[in-house]
Amino acid sequence: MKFGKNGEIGNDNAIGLIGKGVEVSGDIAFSDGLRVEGRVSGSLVSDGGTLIVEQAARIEARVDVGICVISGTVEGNVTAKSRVEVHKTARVRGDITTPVLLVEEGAVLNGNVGMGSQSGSHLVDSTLTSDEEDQVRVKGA
Amino acid sequence: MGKQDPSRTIKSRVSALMNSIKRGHSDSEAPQASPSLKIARYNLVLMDHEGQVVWTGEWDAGGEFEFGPRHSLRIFCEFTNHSKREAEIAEYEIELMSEDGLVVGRFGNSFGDALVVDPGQSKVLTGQWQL
Repeated sequence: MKFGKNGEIGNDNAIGLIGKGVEVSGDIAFSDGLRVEGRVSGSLVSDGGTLIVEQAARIEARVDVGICVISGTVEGNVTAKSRVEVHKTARVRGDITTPVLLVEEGAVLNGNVGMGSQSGSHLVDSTLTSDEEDQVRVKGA
Repeated sequence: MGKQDPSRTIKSRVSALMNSIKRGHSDSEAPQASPSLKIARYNLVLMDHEGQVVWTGEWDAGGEFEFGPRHSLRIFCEFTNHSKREAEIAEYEIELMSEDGLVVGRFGNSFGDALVVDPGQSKVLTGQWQL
């Protein structure tokens, strides 16, 4: 799946849509991506998928996803494994937990920002394997 | 039609010339619009007192994203000491990388007293950027 500017997803077939005028209440789980233009309350959960909250959207939910791109209103805590983008029209009330946070000028954020204990994007490489990590220079070595 | 005062003419020409020079000068000093950076990955580089790299880790940002002049970017990197002894970190760098592996930005910090991470313990290191 390819992402463009403002979290546009190249392959629209892979994502679901909650369109304008649609209200959903409950727990929503998705895999690749979900674009929200309407209202959602409850929870939005995905292992590594992308949630796109459009400008007109309003979400009153706990969000736990791979990537979260916000241009609308979110009330609730947001956790993302890879990153959170908060664009200029966004209004967020809640804590954000993510390893990467991009905030555009004009966005409104009310809440704490941190990495959290369960967050952390995928470590793709480290110079030392776990067997070799004793080689990290240690005090007094 | 009255004749123009020669001193006034010279003054106005000098003034026009000065304005043109000033304009040219300020044009050349005008800040260039910062181009956006495309970021796909980021690295954490830990160094000792001598600036020697002691550990690096690379993370995937979950796909390429654009970091522009009106954005602020904050990155948290976590280092866990899996060794049996305490690790001492004197400075660190967080490198922003494009999809093709080029380093497009770098943020560093050093500690007056080295940061000690006990075995099994983790430390989160943070970098914040604005273009």
